[in-house]
Formats: sequence, structure tokens, C-alpha cells
Amino acid sequence: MNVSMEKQPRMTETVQSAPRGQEAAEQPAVQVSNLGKSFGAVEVLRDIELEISTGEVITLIGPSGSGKSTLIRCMNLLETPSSGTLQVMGETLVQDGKILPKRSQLQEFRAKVGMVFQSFNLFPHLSALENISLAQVHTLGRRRAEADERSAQLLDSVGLGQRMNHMPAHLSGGQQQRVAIARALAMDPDVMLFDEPTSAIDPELRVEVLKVMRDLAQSGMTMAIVTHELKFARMISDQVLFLADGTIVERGTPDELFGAPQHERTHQFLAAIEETKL
Amino acid sequence: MIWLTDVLAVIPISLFIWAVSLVLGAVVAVPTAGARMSQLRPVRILAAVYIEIFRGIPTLVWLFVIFFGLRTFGLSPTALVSAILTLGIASSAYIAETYRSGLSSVPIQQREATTALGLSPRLSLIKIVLPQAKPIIFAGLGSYAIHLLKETALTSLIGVVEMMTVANYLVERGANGLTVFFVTGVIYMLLCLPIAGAVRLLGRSRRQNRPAGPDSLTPLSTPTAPPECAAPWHGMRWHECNSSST
Amino acid sequence: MQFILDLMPGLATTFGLWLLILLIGLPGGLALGYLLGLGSRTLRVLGLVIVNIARGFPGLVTLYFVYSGLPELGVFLTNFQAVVAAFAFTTMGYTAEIFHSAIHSVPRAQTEAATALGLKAWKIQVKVVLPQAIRSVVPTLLGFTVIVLQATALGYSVGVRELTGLSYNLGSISFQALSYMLAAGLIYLVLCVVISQLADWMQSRSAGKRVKRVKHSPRKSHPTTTPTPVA
Ligand SMILES: Nc1ncnc2c1ncn2[C@@H]1O[C@H](COP(=O)(O)OP(=O)(O)OP(=O)(O)O)[C@@H](O)[C@H]1O
Ligand SMILES: [Mg+2]
Repeated sequence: MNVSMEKQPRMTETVQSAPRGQEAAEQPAVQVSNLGKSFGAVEVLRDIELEISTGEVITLIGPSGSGKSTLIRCMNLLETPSSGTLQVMGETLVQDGKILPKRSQLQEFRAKVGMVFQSFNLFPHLSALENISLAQVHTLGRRRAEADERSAQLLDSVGLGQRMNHMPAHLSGGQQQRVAIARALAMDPDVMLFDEPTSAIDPELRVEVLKVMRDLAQSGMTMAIVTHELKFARMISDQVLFLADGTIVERGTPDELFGAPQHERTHQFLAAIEETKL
Repeated sequence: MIWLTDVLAVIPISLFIWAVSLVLGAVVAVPTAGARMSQLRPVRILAAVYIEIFRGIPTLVWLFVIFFGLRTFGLSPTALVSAILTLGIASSAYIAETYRSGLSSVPIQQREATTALGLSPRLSLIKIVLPQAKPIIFAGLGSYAIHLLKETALTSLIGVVEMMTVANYLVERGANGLTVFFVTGVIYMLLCLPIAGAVRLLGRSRRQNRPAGPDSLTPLSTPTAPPECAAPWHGMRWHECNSSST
Repeated sequence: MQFILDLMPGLATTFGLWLLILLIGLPGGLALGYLLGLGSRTLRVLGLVIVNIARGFPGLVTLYFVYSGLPELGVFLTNFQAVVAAFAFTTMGYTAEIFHSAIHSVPRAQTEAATALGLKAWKIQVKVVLPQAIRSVVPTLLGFTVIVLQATALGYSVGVRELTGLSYNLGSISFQALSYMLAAGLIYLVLCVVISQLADWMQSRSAGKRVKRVKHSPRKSHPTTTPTPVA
């Protein structure tokens, strides 16, 4: 990947995250404790302890089926955790596996946590601009013109100012994913979640998405990313978590985890990935 | 061919039965489909049973059951009323399945995306799911409408005076059965043509003709999925056996 | 319960109609399906005309056409034969399309591979293409038999004493019309549900097999038949 490799100092960049109202002092943006998740009798996640500070970027890596998607989907309650607690921006959303807020409050909360999916999930019958404006109007109650203006500005910032009126089917995978990122950012989220955002994109187009994500990280956005792009993970993250068989096996700074993995399982995983590159 | 005018004269009756039962079916199908997809298991099962009962028993038998049944309850419905009632209720079962397969053809990820954006389920349905399901629902509705028009011929068997009744009468009076029934069949086919056309028009997505910008890539894929049926053979009817050449 | 027992002779007749219609209609449909795929323009147009009439006419019209129309041409059929002929014709028209697209969906590479092995053209069809095509449409055809079963109810209209006809007769003699009709409906329902379940089961079984085969294949998956959905 051609995204520059050094960890750059954070600064406001092309992509601007939402102006954060009151910095929740000392309080982590996301706090997960003792979280578990089962599908029927199958336990997919157990004893997950995790904290993301405001402005921090964490990446989740691990073998297929280890529960990365499930964990990240629990963070915006697309999956309901079976046990444990979840706090986002100081608000307790799940306690002992029970969702606390009412449905209407939940919708508000979800808007504050942006989600980017592996398969983009743009709305195919709406143009790029309309994709981004829709929830601004209907969830945040912005006026149409105001929303469209913001959408255009966001599209510009992800390098797609020229494609406002294109339908998703007329955009490449990399472009669709950038629209999807803009769509999530339009809600002025406090946290952004990414589930393998580049896995479904042709390799030569991934870099344009990664650049947008890097810019976003540098602007100070709190991010949780599931990815198989280890180089990118190393460059962008403050913290890397290695997940296997539903638990966090190892965590640390990128240099610690990639440079000197402590666990055999982590070692295996990294070595296996290294091998496929040959 | 003087008899032809007699057959043509009752076309409005066939069309009337068709139109009223279709509308009745399409309306009743809405709550039926809703119940079929309900979160509550008992409701879901009840709706499934309702649908299965109407799809599993021949329409002709239903015509008799409702015709005789209403009489047992002391009502004396005209043949026309029983016909419309039967075809309407039976349609609701078929059309409910059309709605359901249309809605479930929209990938679950679309709903997830709306959830993640904080849209309410109602808005998600109206703004995202329905527009995408529309072409598929209309396609299914269209082939059902055509099927239903042909089913109206059955109502002659409980004494509704429509095309088949007249054709029969003419043949009994000595008209050439070969020609009369063939021409009647052709009339049914011709009547179906405008329905097919109308459906194609209605189902056309608003955006299909939007010009792509000058710098656009070639379309990667068509946005609408092909009509997908969970189990196309299950309780399938004639109208569900379409394929490209018609 | 007595009502249902009374209807058993009708059930036998319905069953006979059903079987005969399928025995004649399905091979006919296969033949017609081939006709649709032929190079000859005239034959293909002829095939299309037949298909469109079979699909476009209401079943009742086709039945009356056969029963009271064909005698004008000197073809006299009993009411039972007329029902079989009419719905075998309809079945032909509907299944022709199913067979046609199934034959088309067998990958060209299969024919090419067989040709490379030196097989004669007709042997390729019989030994390679047809088995794959037919296997892919079995569940659809099974579901189709439900439609045929329901269509036999129209036998009533020409006086065949199949399920519907018999229950109508018994009903009017005994003044129990509703009960007999409901009993007939119940029998139809059970038959339809059983056949549909069978079709579902076969479909899921063959789908399961296909997945497994791909998984265990060490090389890149060789082209397997992907049945194009008919609906
Ligand atoms: N809705 C579900 N119902 C049942 N099991 C599920 C469901 N979703 C996920 N699972 C199971 O949970 C486990 C973890 O799945 P998950 O998708 O979180 O893994 P992952 O780490 O994201 O894998 P990948 O890298 O392939 O995306 C898997 O074994 C999967 O089969
Ligand atoms: Mg995943």
C-alpha cells in the first residue's frame, strides 16, 4: 500500500470529523467490559474487555470466524450482547446483557456511532448525494438544503465532489466505500466503526479508501477498525487487539504486537499472513 | 361470426370481476404479508396457514365452498358476489407471498445500514426497502394479475354470466365449438397484453433513465436483483412459471 | 370423516388424471423445449406459438376446446380423455420453458469436453446434457405437479367424477354440499402440502450436495450446473 508509513502527527486534514462538543474528560469513548455474545448455543465472544479513549484508533485483527465482526457490531448494537456492559460516550447502553435505552433513544445513539460495512451497503436507488443526505434529514432533522450542502462538502473531502449525482452502481468499489464513509460522517458521529472496509475492493483501489481513513484518524476521530491490512493497521493504530476464538488473546501498541508478539497464537497468525504474501 | 359480438359484450363483466378481486386481494394482502413477517411466532404461523390453505386448494373448490358456505349461513349471495369474494380472498394469499418475496429480496444489509444511521424502522421501510422491492413486487403482481384474469373463467361454473358462459351457450345453440372456444381463448390472451404492458410501465424504476455522468464508469451491476423466490415451486401456480420468452 | 371416505373413488380418478397428464405432458414438454432451442426458424416459431397458446388460454377454455371443439374435426374424446389431453397440452407449454432454460444452463464446456472425447452428438445430449439439465429442474417440476393436481379439479366441468366432481354430485344428492366440498378441499390441501414439502426437501438436499462438492474439490471449482431460477 502506498499510504505513507510513518505515523504522522495528528492534525486537521481534508476530512473533518465533527466538532466535538464537550470533550468527555478522561472518560473513554467506548468501554466494553466482560462482554459475551452467543448465537443460540454457540458462544462467539467471551470476556471481552476493551476501552477506546477519545481520539484513539484501535484495530482488531484475527483469523476468520474469531468474532471480529460480531464484536464491532455489538458496539453499535447491530448485535445485542448476551452479557456484560457497554458504554459509549459515557452513556451505559448495555448492562448485564440488557439494552437500557428505549427504542427511540437507541436511534439517536446509533446516529452517534458511524458504521462502515465491508459491502458498502449504499442505497442503490439513491444517488451518492441522496445517500448521504437521507439520514441527516430524517434522523437529525436537518433541512434538505442544509443536508445537501453538508453532503456535497463531505463528498468533496473524500475526493468525490464530481460524482454527487452518480448512482452507486456507476461507482467503483473504492468510490462506493468513500461515499459510505461520508454517509456515516454526515451524522457527526463520536465514534466510527469499520468492518473490513477494504476487503471487497480491488487491491489497486484500496489505497484511496485507506487514505481517507488515515486523514480521518489524523483529524482526531475515535475509530475502531477490523482489517486484514496489517501494514495499514500498524501505521494508523494506537492500539492493536488480536482476537482468536472469541477472546482478545493479545493487545498492545502496533510495535509491540507486530514487532514482538508474546503469544504463540499471535505469532502463528502473523506468520501465516506473512506466508500468503510470498 | 355474428356470435362474436355476444362474447365481446360480456368482456366488461370479466374485467369487473378481475379488477375488483385484484384490488381486494392487493389490499387484504398487506396485513397478511405483515402478519406473515411478524416478530410474533403465533401470528406468523397463523398467516402461513391462511396462505397455505388458499394456495393448496384449487380455486374451483373455493368457489363452491364459499358459494355453498354463505348459503349455509342463511345468506343468499349472487354468483357474482361469491365469485368476487372467492377470487379476492384467494388473491390476497398469493399477493401476500408476492409482497413478502419482494421485501425479502432486499438484502438484510440495507436494513442494517439504515439502523446504523439511526433511521426508524418505518422510514427504513418507506425510503429504502420499498423502493428497492417495488420492481420485484410489480413483476409478481403483474403475472398474478394475468393469472387472475384467466381464473375469472372459472366463475362461469357457478353461474356468473361472463365470457365462458356465453361461449358455452353459443356452442350449445349450434355454433362451431372449435372456433368459438379458440377465439375466446385468444380474447383472454389479448386482454392480458395491456396488463403486461401496464405492469412493465409501473414497475419501471424512477431512476432507470437517469443519464450517467460523462466520467462515469461502466455500470458494475444492475441495481435491481432478479426476482428471487425463497422456494419458487412451493405452492407455485401457473402464473409463477414465467420465463424470458413470453 | 365419512365424507372423506365417500370421496375415495374420486381421489383415485384425480390421481389417474394427474399421472396420465404428467406422463404425457412432461416428455412432451421436453420435446417442445428442444424445439425451442433448435436452429430452424420455422420450428422455433411453431414451438413458440404452441407455448403461448398453452400458457395464454385459461385452463377451462383449453378443456372446452378439446372436449366440445375437437369433435368438429372428427376427434371424439371421452370426458376423461379430454381432461388428460387438455392439461397434458398445458403442461407441455409450461414445462417446455423450464426444460428449455435448463438445457441452456448446462455449460457449453460440458458439450465441448464430450465432443473432444469423440462422442456422437446425440449421445452427448442423452448422456451428458440431459441428465444434468433434468437433475437441475426436478424440484421445480415436482412443484409443478401440484399445479397439475389442482388443475384436474376442472374435470368437474366436463362431468368427470374426480374429487371435485364427485363431491359436487354427492353433495347435491345428500344436501351436504358444503361438507363434501370442504372434505375435498382438505384432501387437496394435504396432497399439495406433502408434494411441496417433498420438493423443498429435495431442493435443500441437492443444494447441500452442491456446496459440499465444491468445498472438497481441491482444484478450482470445475463448472457445475447452476440451474437458473425459472420464476
Ligand atoms: N447471526 C449469526 N448466527 C449464528 N452464528 C453467527 C452469526 N454471526 C456470526 N456467527 C458466528 O460467529 C462466529 C464469529 O463470526 P464473525 O463474523 O464475528 O467472525 P469474523 O472474525 O468477523 O470473521 P471474518 O474475518 O470471516 O469476517 C463465526 O463462527 C460465525 O459463524
Ligand atoms: Mg467479519
